[in-house]
Amino acid sequence: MSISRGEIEHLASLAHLEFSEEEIGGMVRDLNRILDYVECLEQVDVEGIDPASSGGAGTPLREDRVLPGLDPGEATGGAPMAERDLFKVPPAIEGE
Amino acid sequence: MNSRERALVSIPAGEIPGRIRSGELRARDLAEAVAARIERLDPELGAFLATTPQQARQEADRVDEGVENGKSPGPLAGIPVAIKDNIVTAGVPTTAGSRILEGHVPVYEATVVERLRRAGAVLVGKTNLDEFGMGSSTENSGFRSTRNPWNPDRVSGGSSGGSAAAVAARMAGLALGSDTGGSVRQPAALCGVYGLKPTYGRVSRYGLIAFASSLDQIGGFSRDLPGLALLYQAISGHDERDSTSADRAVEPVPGDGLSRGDGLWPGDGALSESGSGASLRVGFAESFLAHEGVQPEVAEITRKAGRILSSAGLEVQDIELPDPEIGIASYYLLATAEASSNLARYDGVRYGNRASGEGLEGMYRATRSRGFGAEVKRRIMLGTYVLSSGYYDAYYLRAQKVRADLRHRFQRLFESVDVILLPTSPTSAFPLGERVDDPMQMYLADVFTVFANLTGIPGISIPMGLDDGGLPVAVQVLAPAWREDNLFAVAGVIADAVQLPAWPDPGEEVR
Repeated sequence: MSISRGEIEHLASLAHLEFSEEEIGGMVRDLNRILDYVECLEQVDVEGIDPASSGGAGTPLREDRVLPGLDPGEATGGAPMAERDLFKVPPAIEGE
Repeated sequence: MNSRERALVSIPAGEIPGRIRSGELRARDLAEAVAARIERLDPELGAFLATTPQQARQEADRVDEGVENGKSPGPLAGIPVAIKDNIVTAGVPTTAGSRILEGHVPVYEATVVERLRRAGAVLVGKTNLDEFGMGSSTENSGFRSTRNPWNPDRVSGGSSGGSAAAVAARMAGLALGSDTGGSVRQPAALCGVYGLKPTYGRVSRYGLIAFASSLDQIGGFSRDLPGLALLYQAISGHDERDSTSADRAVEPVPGDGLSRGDGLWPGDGALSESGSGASLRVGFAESFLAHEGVQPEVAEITRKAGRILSSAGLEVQDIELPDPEIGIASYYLLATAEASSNLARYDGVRYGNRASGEGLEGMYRATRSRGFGAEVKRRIMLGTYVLSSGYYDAYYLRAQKVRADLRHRFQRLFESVDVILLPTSPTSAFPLGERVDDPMQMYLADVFTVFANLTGIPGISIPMGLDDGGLPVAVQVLAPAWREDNLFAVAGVIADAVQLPAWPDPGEEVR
C-alpha cells in the first residue's frame, strides 16, 4: 500500500500539522518506505488471535472518593496565556 | 582534574550509602565533585539539559545532617542521580527534549522522583533525550545531540542517551531513563553501562511524559550491579496514581542488600532457580547472530557470554526466536499509533509554547508544526494513518494481533528456558549524523530490544568491554515477567567473568 500526497494532506489536517511543499515530498517518501517495511506483517498467521490491548491484567477500579488535585492557579500557571485561572485561546473561526 | 575528584566520582553507586552511613564519606563532598565534573565535561558531551547543583548541595547537606544526628539516611543516601528529561520534576524545567515544552516547569513530581528523594538520593540534573523518547541516538533532541563519552564523534544511543552518557562519564552514579522500544537498554549498550527495563507495570509511569502508554516503562542505568539493584528497588512497586502499575510485591534481587545468603547471589553458591535446585536454563538464539546488520564483534561477544554462562554451570540451549522484522514492524505501527494520541495534548493551550496562527485551529497547527521536530511529526503522521478509517484493520488491528501472538510465543519459550541471551544493539555506537536522513536505518537499531516492550517482559543490557574501535559492546538478557531477580543473577555471573575497561575521561585524553 502506498500513501498519496492527498492522503498526507488529509492526515496533516487530522493531526493539526502543516507542512511545506518540500516537507510533504519527504513525508510521502519516508512513510512509504516504512509502509513497505511493515508489509512483512502480512506473512504472519493471525487467524483466530485475539488482539492484545495492554500488558496489564484488566482494569483496576477504585472507590469513588474525592482526592485533592491541583488548584486552578497552579494548573493554569504554566499556560502560554491565562486569565483569572482560565486558559486563554484565540477564537475558533466559524465556517473555515 | 584532581585525583580526589576522580576518586570521589568513581565510587560505585552501590557502595555510596554504606560509606555515608559509616561517616567515611560526606554526601556534600560527593555532590561538589560531581557538580565540578559536570561543569567541566558537559559543555562538550551535552548529556544534561538542566543541572541542579544548588538543590543537590541542599539535598546532600540534609543527608549529612541526618547521619550526624544518628538518623538512618535512606537506602540510596547520597548517590548522585540524573533524571531523563521526560520525567517530571517539580520546580525544575522539564522539556521531554522538545521545543514545544521549552521553559515548561512542572508543578508536580513523578512518583519515581519522589521515591528517589525519600531514599536519600541527590538529584543532579535532567538529561538529554530524543524528543518525546522517539529515536535511538539522541540526535532527535530539539536542543542538541549527546556525544558518546568513549568517542566524541559517536552517538550515545537513544532515546535515553543523556542518562547513559552521564553515568558512563561519571557525572552521576545512577540515572533514570525510559524504555519504549529499547531506549534504556540500547544507550546503555552504546555507552558501556548496565541498563535495565523492568517488567511493564513494575514501575509507576505517573509523571513520565507519555510516548506509547502500553510500551513505556521507566528503567535505570548504573556502572555497577549493586547500584542498579538499589535503584530498581527504590523506584519499583505499586502506585495508586498509575493504574497500570502492578499491585504486587517487589521481590529481592541479587545485590540489593536484601538477599545475600539465599542462594540467589552469585557468590553464595550454586546459581539456582530460587529454591528449586536446578541450574538456570539459558536460551541462546544463534540464528539471530546471522541477522543482517549485526557487527561481527557483537556476535562474538554474545557467543562469549554464552560460554561464560555455560562454564558457570548454567544450561545453555539453542532456541528459535521470532523474526526481529516482525517485532520492528508491529512496534512501529503500535508505538506511533499510541504516540499520535498521546501527543495530541501539545496544542499550545495548557502548557509549553504557543505559536500564533489564524484562529484556534491555526494556532494548533502553527504551535505543533513549529514546536515538534521532524521525527516526531513523522511518527504522528504514521500513527494517524495507521488508526484512520480504512486502514485501522489492515495496520493497527493486525499489529495488535501480531503482538498477542508474540506474547504467547515468548510464554512458550520460557517454558523451556529461564532467560534468553541475545545482543542488545546490532552494532556499537555509530557516527553522529550517519543515520539522521534514513529513518528506517535508525529504526533497525531496535531489532533486538522491541520484543521486551511488545511482550512486557524485563530486560537488561550487560556491558562486555570494548570492540576493536574502542567502543562498548554489550549483551542483553530477557526473563519472563516479574523475574528481574534472574536478570540480576545472570548479570552477576557475567560481571564476575568480564574485565571492564577503565571509565573514560572525555576531553582529558591526548588523542
